[in-house]
Amino acid sequence: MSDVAYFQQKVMEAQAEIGKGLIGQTEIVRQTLLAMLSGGNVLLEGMPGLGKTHLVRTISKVFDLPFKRIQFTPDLMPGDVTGTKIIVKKGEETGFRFEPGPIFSSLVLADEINRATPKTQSALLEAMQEHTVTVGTDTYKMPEPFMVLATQNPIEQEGTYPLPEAQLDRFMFKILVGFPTKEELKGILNLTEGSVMEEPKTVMTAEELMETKALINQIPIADPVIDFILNLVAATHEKGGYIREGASPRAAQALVRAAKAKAFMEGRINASFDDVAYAAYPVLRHRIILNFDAISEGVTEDQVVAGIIAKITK
Amino acid sequence: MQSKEDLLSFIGKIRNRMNRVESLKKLLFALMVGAIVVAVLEGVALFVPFYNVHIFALIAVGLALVTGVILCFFRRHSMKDAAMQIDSCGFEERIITAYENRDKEGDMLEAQRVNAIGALRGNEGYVKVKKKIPWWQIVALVGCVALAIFFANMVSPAKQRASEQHELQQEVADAKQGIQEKIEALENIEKEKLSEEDRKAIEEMQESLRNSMDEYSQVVNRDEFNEAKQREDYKENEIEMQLHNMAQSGQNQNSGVSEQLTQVANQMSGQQGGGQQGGQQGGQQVAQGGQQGGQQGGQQGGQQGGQQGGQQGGQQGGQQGGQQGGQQGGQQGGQGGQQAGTGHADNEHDYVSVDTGVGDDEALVGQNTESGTTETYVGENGMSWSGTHVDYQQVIGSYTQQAYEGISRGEYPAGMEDIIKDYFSSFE
Repeated sequence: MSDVAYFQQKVMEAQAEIGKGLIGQTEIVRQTLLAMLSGGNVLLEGMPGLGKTHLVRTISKVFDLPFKRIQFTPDLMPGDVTGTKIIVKKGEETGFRFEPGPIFSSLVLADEINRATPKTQSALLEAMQEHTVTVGTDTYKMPEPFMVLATQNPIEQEGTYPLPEAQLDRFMFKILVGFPTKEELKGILNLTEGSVMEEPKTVMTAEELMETKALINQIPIADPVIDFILNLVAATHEKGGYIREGASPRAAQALVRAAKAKAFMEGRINASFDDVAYAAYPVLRHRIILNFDAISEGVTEDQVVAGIIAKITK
Repeated sequence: MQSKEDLLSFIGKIRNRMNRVESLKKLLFALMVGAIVVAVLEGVALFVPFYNVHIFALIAVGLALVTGVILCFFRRHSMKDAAMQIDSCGFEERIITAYENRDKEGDMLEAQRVNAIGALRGNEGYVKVKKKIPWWQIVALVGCVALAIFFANMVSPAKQRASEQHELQQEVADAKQGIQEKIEALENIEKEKLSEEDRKAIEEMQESLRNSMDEYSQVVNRDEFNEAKQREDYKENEIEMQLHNMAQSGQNQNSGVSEQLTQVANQMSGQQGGGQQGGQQGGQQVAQGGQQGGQQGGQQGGQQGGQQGGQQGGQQGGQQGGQQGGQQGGQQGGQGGQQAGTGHADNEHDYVSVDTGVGDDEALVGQNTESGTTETYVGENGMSWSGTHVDYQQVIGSYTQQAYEGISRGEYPAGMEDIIKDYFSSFE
């Protein structure tokens, strides 16, 4: 199976190439790549100016994928996202032609998704789930690979339309983008202000990416690891803790795919308990709803997930 | 390690190692539980009479070991457990994944298997099976064993009571066994050759012996056992005499059952000391000898009791004569018989002459003659002496009075009072 080793090597190179342009964001790059290799979408939550757009742009260059950015505002219409039909005149005849919207791209950055109305949000979410767009009576397929990276600001909640849980569930990962440390900020300044930034190189093509995804899908996962995933998801439904609503079965599917992708990225051909434990945080933090006790005590989703993992591992 | 077979073989080796360690742990645990039970049992035996405590302790240890062995068998580790154990040493679930897919085909599965074997090759030594036994189990095992040994060797009143009780129960069982044999011996007599009266008598003897068995069943202490034994001895003595009388009757001698009766009669006294029997017979003879006079009774009791007892009884009976002499002689004869213990059960009854010049006659109603000689003749009631005669009722009354006074002074064995009273009341 030399292909496996070849593509594993390629993925590691891609990860390294992306990391060159982003100082101190190793885990974010890694998790974003994990979601990409698993065929999932990502919700990035962080303050403005932390390099979210730069990350997506870099990924598009490394994988040679077309990239589109959509700035969500309250007046954004669904047609502005999906595209619309316009009237065209051909000679004497008049007809409609579909003009695809910015969503018809392999990589889509939906900036501040929580600023758009629920109607506009749902137009994007249909594409995320089905990889299709319906305009009128016609359905149009998205290009493959297709990935949506949505962002939201954790502090500016005025005038926003928070994504409901059912729609949050469609994002495979929710990645928290934290503020860089002083040393990391210094590195960023040196990189961006001191010299001309080197453009990232293309490491993998879209076809190679698709082949890699197919290989990752075949990676075996042992029964004890499956049991671990099931116990993890079931534990989010236990009464008496900090969780009001637990994770859906989609969370279990996301954990399986993410564990396989992580194993592949690390040069293994089997998923392990550690892979599942690593993927549990980005998979579960937006899928569990905390109760008032947790909110009043300041308990975060990550702390709850850590408690569940510790309990199951014991 | 090169192939799938090597991988499976290695997993099997780890499984066997795990099962050995687990067996050791379980057996130790079982032994610890057994030791705790033994220590508790031995401790309880210090305060509660429990004679067979050591046997129960051994059974507890045996049961604990058997349970441990059964647990070892039913909770053996599987190959899957062994694969997980290997993975826990840093192989990141490679081995369990390869084991689960060992029989499946596919490029990716084959690649994974190769990856697992490659990771394990050269690193087999890193696979460890924890042999750690909880230290508290070892401490508990050693401590309980030491405690059990200590308790087992300690002496306590409860242990002594248990020992005594056990001994008593053994004796009761032996006594009941002996009575049962005698009942069966009576049952085996050819009753069709006996008269109706004799048959009825034999049935009464058996009933009497069964009552003795019931008495033994209700014995709870040594005193009650001794009482029951004395009553049993008295009854068997009576039965023996009756059987001997029956054996000597003409009808039974002619029918040929006399020998059986004699054998069974001998069996009645066969387990008793002859002296004891003689003493009892002497006492009985005294009770029966009121008609014959105290001297005779005393002598007879003394003779049957053995040499020493016979001389004492004979002398005293001879000196005193009359009621008291016979009584004392009979008692002495009984005592002498107990002391000597060498009398034979088949001694025949005999009539003897008592020198009237010997013994104290103050308490007796009869009088000696001055000449020192006596003349005897056969009267209506058997042998008689010439000289001063005493009324029969007076003699009986005197004996009765002496008997009751003896009862009130506690001179007779426990349980004999009623028998004595019944006997004397039968003369009324």
